[in-house]
Amino acid sequence: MNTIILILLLMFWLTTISIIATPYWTRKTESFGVTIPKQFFNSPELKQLRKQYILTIGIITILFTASFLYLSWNQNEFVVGMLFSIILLSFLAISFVCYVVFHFKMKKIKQHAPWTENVSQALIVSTSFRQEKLNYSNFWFLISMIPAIIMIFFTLYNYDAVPNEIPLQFNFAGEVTSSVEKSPSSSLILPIMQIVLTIMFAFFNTMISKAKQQIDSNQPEQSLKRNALFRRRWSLYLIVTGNTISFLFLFIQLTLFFPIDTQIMSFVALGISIFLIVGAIFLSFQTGQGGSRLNRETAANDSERMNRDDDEHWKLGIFYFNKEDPALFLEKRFGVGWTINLARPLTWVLFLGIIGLSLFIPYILS
Amino acid sequence: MFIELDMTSEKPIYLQLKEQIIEGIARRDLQPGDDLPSVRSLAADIGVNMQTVNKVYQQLKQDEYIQIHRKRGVVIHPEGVPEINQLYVTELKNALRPLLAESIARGMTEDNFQETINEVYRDIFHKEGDDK
Repeated sequence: MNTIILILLLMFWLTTISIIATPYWTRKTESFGVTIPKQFFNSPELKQLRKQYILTIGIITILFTASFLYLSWNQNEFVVGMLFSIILLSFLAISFVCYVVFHFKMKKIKQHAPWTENVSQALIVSTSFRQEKLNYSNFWFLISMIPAIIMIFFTLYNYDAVPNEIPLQFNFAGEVTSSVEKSPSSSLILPIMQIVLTIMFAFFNTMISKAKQQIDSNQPEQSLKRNALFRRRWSLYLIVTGNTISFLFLFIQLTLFFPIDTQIMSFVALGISIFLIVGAIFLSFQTGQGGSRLNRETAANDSERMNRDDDEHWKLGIFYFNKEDPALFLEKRFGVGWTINLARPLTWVLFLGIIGLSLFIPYILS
Repeated sequence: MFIELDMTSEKPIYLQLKEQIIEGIARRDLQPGDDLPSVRSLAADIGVNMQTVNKVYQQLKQDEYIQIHRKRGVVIHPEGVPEINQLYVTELKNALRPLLAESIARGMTEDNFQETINEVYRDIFHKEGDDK
């Protein structure tokens, strides 16, 4: 039982690592969601600020770890699971508050600094950006999509062999904690979820190639190459992740027909998720936001020029709201990956649709 | 080709964009038949209203720098830019005249002006491969 607590703790720490490391993963032209001239990223003042942030999140992590251990030790799995969810969610909430505090600190620093005086804001756009290879083809998702479709036919063909109760959730001991009655539609929940999930991943993969081009005006050539590589790497990550999760679903569906130790299955699932999270963290450290950590050369900086300052469109430094901008997707400012232009209703429809779809499919089918 | 816009400049974005594309054509960074991004994609990359980019493309199309196809998208005019004709030379002279008059008023000599023109001329080409 206590092994599970340690595994959950590992998951928790992986989350905290990604939150602590975020200010170091961002582009050097941003600090806590505020646009800065690149050469100030490593100024003593900002280094100090980042250290303070690490310290703050670090202390919170220690407190949360201690309380989780204290409260959950020798408790049953249900309690541990509940505690973990509460701990994780409140940690995320508190670290968000921390971010906001540091965002306003950063804003204040910028206000008092003479950085932006006599500095022009350059915006560089390559006319051939979309001709670069920005992602890998969605056809790679067929690797798991085809087996999923075969699985649907296989399940219907062997419908008699499907057990009367179809498991939906397992605990760590491999026991079924939630299940639905057998019906032709409920027997297909997993393969259908798998297909929806794959479509979702394919959508995100397409988004990677469509997202706004953001080139550093100080080194456009290198910046463009780095950015294309950044996109391709995350595209590859999505393809690997999508297919892996999809095969896991396929494997779980197989347990309906073949005797497979479900406890092994639980640990396989856990192992896979840890592997994927570690992969994402590794990739973030290697590549950085927008490719900013790739072959970091300290190129001569142009002090009379900085990237375009669009802080006014970034609410709290992380929510992009720009009615003029037709872009739907663009790079996050605090973190690694992409976010949406909240002023575009289409992005709301897309995202709510995706979330809704994945939440309601099990209900519709069961 | 890299389009470079100065977001702090007084000069409107659409004008900067138009000038940059024409410079690209002059420098042959943009060759006849080369693709340009779609209105939506370019507007999204710059972060401006689609009207802004549309205006530039319509003007460039008017002057036969580019073609806008429904299927192929936007391309640099495959037959190249129309050659200099009498009308163009007259327009150019008219455009230069007030600028020259201003310079003369400020005491610029004919040689100075010539030199300035040469400098700008060279600068347009110099930008190629300028990675700063």
